[in-house]
Amino acid sequence: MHLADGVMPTRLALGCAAVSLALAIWSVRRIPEHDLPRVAVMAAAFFVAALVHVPLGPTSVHLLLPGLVGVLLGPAAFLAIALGLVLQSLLFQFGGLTALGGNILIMGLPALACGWLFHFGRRLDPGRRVALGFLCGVLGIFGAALLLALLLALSGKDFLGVARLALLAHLPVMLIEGVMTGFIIAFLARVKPEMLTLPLQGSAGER
Amino acid sequence: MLPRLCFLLLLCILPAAASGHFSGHAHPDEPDHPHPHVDAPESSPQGYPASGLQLQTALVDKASSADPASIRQLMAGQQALQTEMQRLHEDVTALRAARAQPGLTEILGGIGYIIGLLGLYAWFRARRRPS
Repeated sequence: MHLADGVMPTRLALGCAAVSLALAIWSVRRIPEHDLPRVAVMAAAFFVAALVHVPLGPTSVHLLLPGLVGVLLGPAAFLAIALGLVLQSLLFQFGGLTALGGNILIMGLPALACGWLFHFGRRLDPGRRVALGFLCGVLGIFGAALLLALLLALSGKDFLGVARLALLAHLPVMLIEGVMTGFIIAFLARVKPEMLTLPLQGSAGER
Repeated sequence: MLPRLCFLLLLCILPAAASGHFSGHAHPDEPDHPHPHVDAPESSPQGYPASGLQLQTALVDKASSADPASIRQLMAGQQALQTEMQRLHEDVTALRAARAQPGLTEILGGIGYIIGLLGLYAWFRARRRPS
């Protein structure tokens, strides 16, 4: 779900770009310095995820991964997603350059929300954390669809109709990503549990 | 430090924007320039295979005789032309769609940019603390 050029009115596009830029700068300060490769890997995963098509009946959907990126990166997720979206727009022509601010907000804000949600549940027992991972995977796409509908409503389209359409169309993706995120959380909890708590402990924001 | 980082980020992104976005794919609907056919001796101005135009000319010449057999031949010729045009249109559409897909080049370029930009960031941060 990428907004194309020309859908949003100019003021809305500029406003989204300004907010995205501010949040990206905030996110840069929260990049864990000792863990940069993880930010790079998640940004690359997000960048490439849109090419992974899952055939569903007559059509196919593609992965987006905002929930997973948010859970694993925390505050730095916004920058990783912004970077991924900028490169997708320039290299893959997914989404227009003027709609970049809006697209970054659509994907980045749910990622931040999922990161915080997972952070609140970090003291849960492992089984509940996996369920929380599933929920974060679902909420990532759900929030993104809602924000997309909100931006389209602000551009003059019918909000409820677009919201219903966006949510219905992305229902399979929500389930797939929820399952994926749950499995990944379960695996990491077994193999390297510190990866699930690290991003929100370390930050590089020194002045 | 942050203004320097922003400037370097812009510097890195502008080449990608210039080369990828504005030159090759910005106008996907423009038809390609017709290539002169080196094999056919007479080529039509639109660049389509010469046989179609030759066929049409021959058929028009035949039609002037107003013989029913000739008219049947003319209609069959028109049908053949239509089929050929249809196949060509389908080919062009498929070609355009395939051209618009992101390839390995773009994927590797994007991953390279991510690694490079974050590496630059790491270098800057390492410089800031001499310990």
